[in-house]
This record gives sequence, structure tokens and C-alpha cells, in this order.
Amino acid sequence: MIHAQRSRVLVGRVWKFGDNIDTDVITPADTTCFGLGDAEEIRILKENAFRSIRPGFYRLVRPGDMLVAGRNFGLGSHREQANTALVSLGFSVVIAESIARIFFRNSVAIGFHAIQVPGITTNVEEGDELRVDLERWRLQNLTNGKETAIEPYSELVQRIIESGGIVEVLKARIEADRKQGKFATRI
Amino acid sequence: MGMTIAEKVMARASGKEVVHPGQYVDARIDRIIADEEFYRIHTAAEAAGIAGGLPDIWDRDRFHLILEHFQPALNVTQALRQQKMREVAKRYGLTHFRDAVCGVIHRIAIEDYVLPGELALGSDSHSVAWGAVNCVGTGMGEHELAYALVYGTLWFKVPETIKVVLSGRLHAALSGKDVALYLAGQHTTAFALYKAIEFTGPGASALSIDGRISLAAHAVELGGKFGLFGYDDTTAGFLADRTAMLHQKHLAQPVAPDPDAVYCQEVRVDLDGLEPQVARPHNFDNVVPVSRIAGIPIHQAQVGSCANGNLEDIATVVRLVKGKRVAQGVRLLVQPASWAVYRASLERGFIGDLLDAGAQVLSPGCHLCIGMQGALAGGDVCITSTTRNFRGRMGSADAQIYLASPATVAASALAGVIADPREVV
Repeated sequence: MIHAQRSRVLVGRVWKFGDNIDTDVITPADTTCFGLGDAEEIRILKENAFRSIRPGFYRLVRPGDMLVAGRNFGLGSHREQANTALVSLGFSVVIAESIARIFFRNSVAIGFHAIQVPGITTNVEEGDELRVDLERWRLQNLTNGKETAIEPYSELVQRIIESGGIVEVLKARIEADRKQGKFATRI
Repeated sequence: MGMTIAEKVMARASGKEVVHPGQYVDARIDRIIADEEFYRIHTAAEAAGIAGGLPDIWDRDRFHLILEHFQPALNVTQALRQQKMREVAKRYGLTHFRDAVCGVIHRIAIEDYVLPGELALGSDSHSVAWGAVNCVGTGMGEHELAYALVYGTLWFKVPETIKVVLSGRLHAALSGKDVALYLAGQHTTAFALYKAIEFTGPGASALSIDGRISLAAHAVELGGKFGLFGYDDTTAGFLADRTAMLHQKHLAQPVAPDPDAVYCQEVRVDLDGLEPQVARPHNFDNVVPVSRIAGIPIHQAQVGSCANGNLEDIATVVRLVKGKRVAQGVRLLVQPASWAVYRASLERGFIGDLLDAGAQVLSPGCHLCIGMQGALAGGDVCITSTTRNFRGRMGSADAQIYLASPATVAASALAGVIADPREVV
């Protein structure tokens, strides 16, 4: 399984996209429909991510880079591979004007930062260096000096992301329940 | 203060008298329906170090696993995944595992499983389609479903609700698809972001269940979390024909909004004057009336998917193409949404009519919608009643995909160019 890093202050270089970046653009259907969730599938997803609009993108992204996008980022399919592919590419965060519902939930579920910052596309250009502070909830563009506030995650969302995703939350609960004797008879 | 359908169901599921939009709740799930992606639920749990995968399933009578997206398997990797799924289904001792004879998950769910008033989750974004029968359904990723499957609960943010009031009557050549496209054209794909939609008014009541499915399924294309219809005689009549899971039928709890429910927005659509709508490449909200683009030559025409592979859709195509021939150089592909739809089409003579007209009829599944069959090459132009026209959705990123109703697709297949179905019907 793929987990994002969990630092609260992120600094990175921007790759900028437009509105309505859908899950077929991020991870095309032919790369998501046949996988077994193994290393081979992760490689295929990474190497084909964004291929229809930025061929060979995986060669350009460096660990810690940030993806900035417009309205309704991640609309479309429920495919979690779109989220995990961003982590595989090395992105530390997605920052968009708005983020599609399932894409946002899936990001939280795998412990990957996805934040909505209205106005982000007017204040940030490709190649800019950003500092995203998820303690003070500030976004600073180190290239042009502009700074904006970020709406904090809800307490629950914050807890799931910092746990490393919902399966880690599940695991902890199962372990606690097992100590109480629950699940003893199953499987 | 009254509550909307979504608020009422969220309140009931979280054991509260009242909930408000924006409130976080831990809600009890009534039903989970998963497709092939269940394999990822199992592997995600194992990869996290939960030995043996999920320790238990919270309620085996409320979990359905369906191998449906691609039956029969299209290649060896997929066949291997199905093989692993069968092993996993056995290991978890699943009660409701459906293997060979399926169709699109949402059609199966509505035909056989989901009930009015339920809070139900599916491993597919178009699970909002279940709202056609007053079920509060939505799509979730595998990691979240892993949690819900073990404990039967999941966190939700109570959504605001948009009320969409449909008045007037649709022209005989128009359908729920045109309404969904019109709404996207007017309000964009971010219209209902994080929100529920209630479809109401005389125009909503007049829609058949198939028409409601089309509109409810596209709630997700409008950004929505739920796409809900009320419960009425049409719903009751549809559910009366159900032959599966009869021991649970009494659990249905139809939900209507309170008369003083509060909506964040109200949108009225007059169906009387509505023109057939078409979404141009490469997004669902790039919409124009068909007259604006009529005459564009096409190579492929498709009718199928959760939104528009239902009996009414196939009947519409037959109404247009019966006794005629698809234009030379055009491939018309029709994929019924389930084997029940296929059988009903067969019994009414539709399959023969389609074959006579030069159409190809495919076995039920999700193939067409994502180019697993009928893939497009660069330069191909396709008009389709499936769900999405994203760049590269059906093969080459250089193919052009137009979305339209089954009638517009059929009229275009006959003409060889994008055409207004009102001239044929």
C-alpha cells in the first residue's frame, strides 16, 4: 500500500493544471482496470499518469513537488489509483480551487494531503516554490511572496490523515478489539 | 426546522433526532455493494499489516459482491484477478457473491438489492444511481469500504441539499439524459460539489425508473454526493416486481423531505421547451443544444452504461432504428445494463430489430463506457449515451467523444452525422 509522508510543513515546486482534471486524465482506464494492486500495477499507473496531456510526466516530477489545479480536481471515477498515482509520482500535496468529493475522501483515506484554496490559480504559476504550513494553516508563495490562509481540515479528517489513512485507523481499532477477545472465532 | 431526504437518512443512521448540513456524523451503513475492486479492499487491509485481511464482515446479509465490470474477463490479468476474488469470497464466507451472470453493478443493485430509505455504499462513483429508488447511495473508495465492512459505520459530513424542480413534460424524443446534460451545461460539473440533489416536481414524477436512473446516476457528473428521487407509485410498482432478497423487502423505509426542509439552492427546469442536449469533448459540462452541432460526421454510436443501458433506452433506440439501417461507415453498439434487461429486450423482439438495423449487441457490463470494447482510435468521432467523455476515456486521447441521449445517438447512427432525434420521432 502507498502512504504519503506526514509532515505538517511542506515545501515544494509547483506543477500547474487547469479546471476539471478528471480521473481518466490522471490514471487512464486501461491502466486501472486490470491491476492486482502489486508493484507492477503501481509502476504502470505512475508511468501513464497524465499521459494524454503531459506525456512522460513521471520523468519530470521530483519527490516533494506540489500539484496545483483549478476547479473540481479529480472529478469522475471513484478509482483510488488516481490518488495513489500522485503519491507514487512524488507529490506531497494537491492544492486546488476545489476538489471532487470522492477524490477528496480517497485522499484522506490514504493519508494524502488534498486542500482547497479558492484563488490559488491566480496566485501561483508553474515552477513557483510554495510553503504549505498545516500547523498555522498558511500558504506562502516563496517565489512571489504572496501569502494566503488555508481553511483547516476538520478534526476528524486531520486525525485520519495523521494516522496514515483510514486503514491504519481500522488496524488500530481491530488490534484493540482483538485484545478484548473480539474477532477470535473468524477466519 | 424540517429536514431534506439526505438529512433525515443521516439523522436516522447516526441515531440522532436532527442533523444539520456541515455536521460530522458516524453513520451506520445499511448496505454495501462492491464489484471487482473488492480485491483491493482485501489487499489494502493485508498490506497495512492486518493479518489475514478483514477480520470479519459486519453483516453478511447486507454485503453484496458482484464480479460485473468485465464479464467475461478480457485478458489474463483480469481473469487472474477474478480467480483471486473467488478465493477471497470463499474465505470471507460471503452470503451474496454473484459471479458469472451479472451486468452493470448499479442495474443489479436497483433490480435486486437496494431499498428505499437505506444509506448504501458502492465501490463505484455511479452508486448515486440508486437514488432513483429513494436509496441514499454513494460511491466510496476501497480503503473506506474496508473500514465500513468491518464495523458497519463510516464518517460523513451531512451535505447541503439542492432542490431541482422539473416542470412540464419532455418531448417524446428526450429523456433524463438530456436533463442531466442541460443541468451540467447551465451549472457546470461543480454544481452540487459535496451536496445532495433532490429531483422533484411533476417532471420528476412523470419519469419512469429507467429515466430516474439516468438522472440520478449523473448526480456525480454534477459534482453531487447523492442524487435522490422521492418514493411514489412508480417506485412501489418497480419494487413489486423484485424477485431477489425478498426476506429484506419489509426493511424499506421510504423517505420524503419535510415540507419545511431547508435547501441551499433551488433550480427550476422547464421540460416543455427543452431541446436535445449534447456534451462536446472532453467534459460533461461542455454542453450545447443538438441544433448547434448537427451535421458533424460520426464513426461510432453507443448506447449502454449504468445511466443509459436500461430497457427504456433500448426501446427508444429500437423505436428509431426499426426497419431502417445504420448509416454506412457507422458502428452502432448497444450494451444492455444487465442480463434481465437483455432478456426483456429479447422477449420484446428488440435484439432482432437492432441486428436487422445493423447494430452490434454486446453482453452486459461496463465495457463500452471505458473503451474496454469498442475502443476508439485517434481521429474517431463517437456519440454515446454512456456516462463520460473525458479525454482518452475510450482509448486514444485524440478521439472525440460526444455525450447524448439514446434517441440522439440512434438518430445520429442512422444519419451518419450528429442529428436531432425530434426529426425522426
